[in-house]
Amino acid sequence: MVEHFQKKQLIQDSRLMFHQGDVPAPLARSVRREGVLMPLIATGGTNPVVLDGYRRLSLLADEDVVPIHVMKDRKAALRATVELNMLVSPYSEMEKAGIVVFVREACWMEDREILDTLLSRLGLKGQQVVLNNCMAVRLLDSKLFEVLSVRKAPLKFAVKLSREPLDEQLTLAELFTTCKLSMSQMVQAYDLLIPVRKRENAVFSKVIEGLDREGGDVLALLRQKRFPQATGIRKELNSLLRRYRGRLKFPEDLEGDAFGFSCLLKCPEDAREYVAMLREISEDDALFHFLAEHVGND
Amino acid sequence: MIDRIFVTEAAESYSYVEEICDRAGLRPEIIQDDAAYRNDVERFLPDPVGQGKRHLLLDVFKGEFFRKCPGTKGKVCCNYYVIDQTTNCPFDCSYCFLQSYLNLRAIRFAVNIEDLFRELEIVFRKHRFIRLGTGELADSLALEPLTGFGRKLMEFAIEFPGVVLELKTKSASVDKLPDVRNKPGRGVIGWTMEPARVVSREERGTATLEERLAASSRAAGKGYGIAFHLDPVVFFPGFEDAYLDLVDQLFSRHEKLDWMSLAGFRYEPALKGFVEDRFPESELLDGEFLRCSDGKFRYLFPERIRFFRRLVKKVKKMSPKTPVYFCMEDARTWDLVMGRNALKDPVLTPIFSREGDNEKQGM
Repeated sequence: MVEHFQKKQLIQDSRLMFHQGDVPAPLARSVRREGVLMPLIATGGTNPVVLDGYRRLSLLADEDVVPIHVMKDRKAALRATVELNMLVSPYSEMEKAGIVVFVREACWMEDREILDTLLSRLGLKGQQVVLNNCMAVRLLDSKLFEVLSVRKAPLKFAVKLSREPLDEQLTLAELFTTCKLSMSQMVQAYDLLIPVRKRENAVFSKVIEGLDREGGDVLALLRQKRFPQATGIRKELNSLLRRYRGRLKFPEDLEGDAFGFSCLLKCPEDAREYVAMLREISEDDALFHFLAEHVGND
Repeated sequence: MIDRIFVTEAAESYSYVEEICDRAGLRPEIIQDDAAYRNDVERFLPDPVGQGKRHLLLDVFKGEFFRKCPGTKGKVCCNYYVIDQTTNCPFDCSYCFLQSYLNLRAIRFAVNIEDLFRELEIVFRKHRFIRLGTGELADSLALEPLTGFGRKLMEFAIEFPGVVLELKTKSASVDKLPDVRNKPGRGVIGWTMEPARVVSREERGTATLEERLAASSRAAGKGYGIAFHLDPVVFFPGFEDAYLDLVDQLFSRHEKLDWMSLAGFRYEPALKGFVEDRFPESELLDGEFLRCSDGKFRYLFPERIRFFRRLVKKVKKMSPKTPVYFCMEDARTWDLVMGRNALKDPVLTPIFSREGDNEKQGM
């Protein structure tokens, strides 16, 4: 049933503010111009507890009147909130995890009910593993949690990071923020850091300190550290190929035992140039040394 | 090894079910079908991959058991056929592709083996030479103490001339297998062999290297051909010496093998997450990998070539008549490691010969 309440009559619970971040501009514009058109969802009696509509509510004054769909059954209200939002403003995976954490910690639902009714509404698999992953997000340091929330991190990535000790999480949060890494860059950076940390038997901060940050972007530096052999081979290869202005190629995945040559003849003079280039290539000892050294091709 | 046995309604009436449950000392839990397992059991497991390996699902398989090994895009195919009677494995190896490949976490075991034997009989009568095995989606002998399936299959297949049946395993369960001396077919037991360091770090629940070696001697005594698979070769500090020592150990037991396969560790991107989550101490992902043309990640080509050359040289020196082949490597790797025309080496004929090759040569 839809009733009308002044904003100040409503109970707002920060734990139920599932959407993170700023109010989307189109929504803010609409609320300022038209007021609240679609009823909020709340549960309870005289002073209902709001479940859906916190972003719209934040734009109103205490005396403003809003339509509220009050549902007595709080589980039904929660389900309606989730269903509605997944349609009109889907939650990020971090936000979904936040909902699950709240529902479980506030004892609104048993595990079985979460698996059977909530996870599927959130577009997640109704599996214990998924529930556990959602709960693992609690273990994230607050700063890292914020960074991941803003970037709408996938749940799996957040879970991985939640297994790191807190000081390592802090280092990551700092790296991600200071280097202004995008979501995919954060995943790459973490992927690169893990084996380097293991190899050097160090902590993330030491690995990062050891990078010559003046010399390039952090991902490129980490890649060089993670793949020293491949980096060495590629450097050598690049210096060999540079001379031939893109005509000479070697497989990107290094899965080969031969260089390839390609050219486009636009005018007869080109032929002479490329023949000369081929002659130069055939006498280029460095190319033969490269093949002999790296793939044993005699 | 197995905590619970689930039996689908379709499988309930098979006497083989009772045989297996009796051996396991477990009461069967009847479920409607595999979907019921997924919905009522699997989704409540906190570690579905690990716990699923301790669940045996006895079912009836209605499709075809027998198929050609699909190999991988652009790599040399070894002309092997596989029987998919069991899927999944109680052993828990960090590098196992089944972790990211299977969509049912229990070990699914088809009890309608009469259907399998009927299907195989038709195949065996059609082919004059066929090399096949059960070890593609399962370990062929890991469940042997419970199911005795390896024995049943071997007893059946060994009676067909031209059939080479390989049971591929990381167990030491060979003692109940039949004696195959003077049989028309050829029985081969193939072991995945790894240095002890890899066995202990990456292969949970499997027989130790020593146990596998001892089992291989016992199997040879019963007339079985022996195959070893150095697959996957894992790069770790000191791996070169470890694998070369391993070769010494293998050939100190057997003068000649039926075959030996080699392959560097490679992985589909989906496997990485499983290794990281389930095997935090694994050394598997520590090496340097590059994504190859088939989408899989492999160790750097130059590093692979360098090491395979050493390895092959050593094997050929110790046992020139043992056919050595690569699994899932391309023709360039063959050329660079084994030399040009390596695939035409007569030593490899038993591995790579195909039905009809003789006719073509005679034409």
